[in-house]
Amino acid sequence: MKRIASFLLGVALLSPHAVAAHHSFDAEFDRNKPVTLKGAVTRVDWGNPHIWVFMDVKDETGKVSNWGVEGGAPNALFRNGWRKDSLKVGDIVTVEGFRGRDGSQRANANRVTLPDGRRVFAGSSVGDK
Amino acid sequence: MRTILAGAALGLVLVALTSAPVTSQGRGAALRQGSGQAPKNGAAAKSGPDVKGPAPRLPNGKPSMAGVWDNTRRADVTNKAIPGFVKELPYTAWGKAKWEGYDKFMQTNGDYVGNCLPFGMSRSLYGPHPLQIMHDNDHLVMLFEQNSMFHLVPTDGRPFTKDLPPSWFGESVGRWDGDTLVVETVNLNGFTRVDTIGHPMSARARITQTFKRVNFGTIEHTFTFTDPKTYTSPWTVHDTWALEPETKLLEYACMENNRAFYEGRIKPFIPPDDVD
Repeated sequence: MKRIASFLLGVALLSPHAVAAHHSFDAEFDRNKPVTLKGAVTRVDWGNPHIWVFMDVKDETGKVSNWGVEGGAPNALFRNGWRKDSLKVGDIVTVEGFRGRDGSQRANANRVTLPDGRRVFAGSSVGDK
Repeated sequence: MRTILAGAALGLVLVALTSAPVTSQGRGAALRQGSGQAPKNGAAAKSGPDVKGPAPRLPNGKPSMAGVWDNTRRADVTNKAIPGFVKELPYTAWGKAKWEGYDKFMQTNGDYVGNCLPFGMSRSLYGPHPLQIMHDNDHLVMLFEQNSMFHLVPTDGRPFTKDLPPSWFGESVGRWDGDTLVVETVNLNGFTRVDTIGHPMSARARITQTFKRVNFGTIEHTFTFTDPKTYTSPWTVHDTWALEPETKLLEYACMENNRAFYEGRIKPFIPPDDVD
């Protein structure tokens, strides 16, 4: 099963298109505030209109805080090869995305680098046209 | 009780329509981007229908529009990168003020779709999720995966319902012009925007769609928007939709994980009071 999931995520990697424009990106996130977060997954909420992945992130002072990262719509991610268990609690991942407009520890995920090193599309609508 | 009866009636309609000529069996790993794009996993219906073959027919001899369709994603109907776009929107003074005054950050009045309210006709048609059409002699039903919404269109050319309260999708009636199905929609509530980027519209809008199934795998679709309060003349979007026989619609329960709304980053939607 893990091999299948890995293959499907590979499909997602090859298909970096916007798939989850549930609402205007700019209403919630700031495309001028890119952020890179690395840490361990603590929780995955697979649901509409967007999946949410929570992760513990250590800042430059060593302080750990929990971030929430919004991914694409589950139906669209599923069609792109993601599965509900593609990310598991404890996985060390790197998220490239954009911070929320309100400055909270929330972000929109554009790319996720998986524990095996592959960098896959996470369903961001930042490039939606 | 009335709701239960209406639901039961709709269920019967949908059951009856499942005998329509085209069935859909799964989208594979296709992306929702652009017009007529093939599934990206290379598994496009090797043993599926002959998409170049003739359009399927209803029992009454008219073309069936049934199937799951690659309805083009348009976040902006004027985007020149997507064929069939609108070259220029002819704003009235009211429409221009609405467009230029639109706050795309929506920090005081939230996007209604971020509130999980209905997307309305155009944002559903041009959204990122698939559309399935079910069709029999009497009705065409549009099943939008986005928010698991449906829209029922009688195709007998009947008059619109008198004094029906306006709604997000409005009321639609279809009629045949030869082998082209023409669907008119009125009685919109004016709360919706044309597209994700927020082009304006009013409750006076009238939408005219044409559906022409040119072969088994293709519908030529037009969407004409007539809204004298917002635009000085009608404008039209042209699309070619490809059949997606591998695609299966999935449930979309919008509010189940709408954290952005629960946590206050998307603000509550305040309906406009000047759309009539």
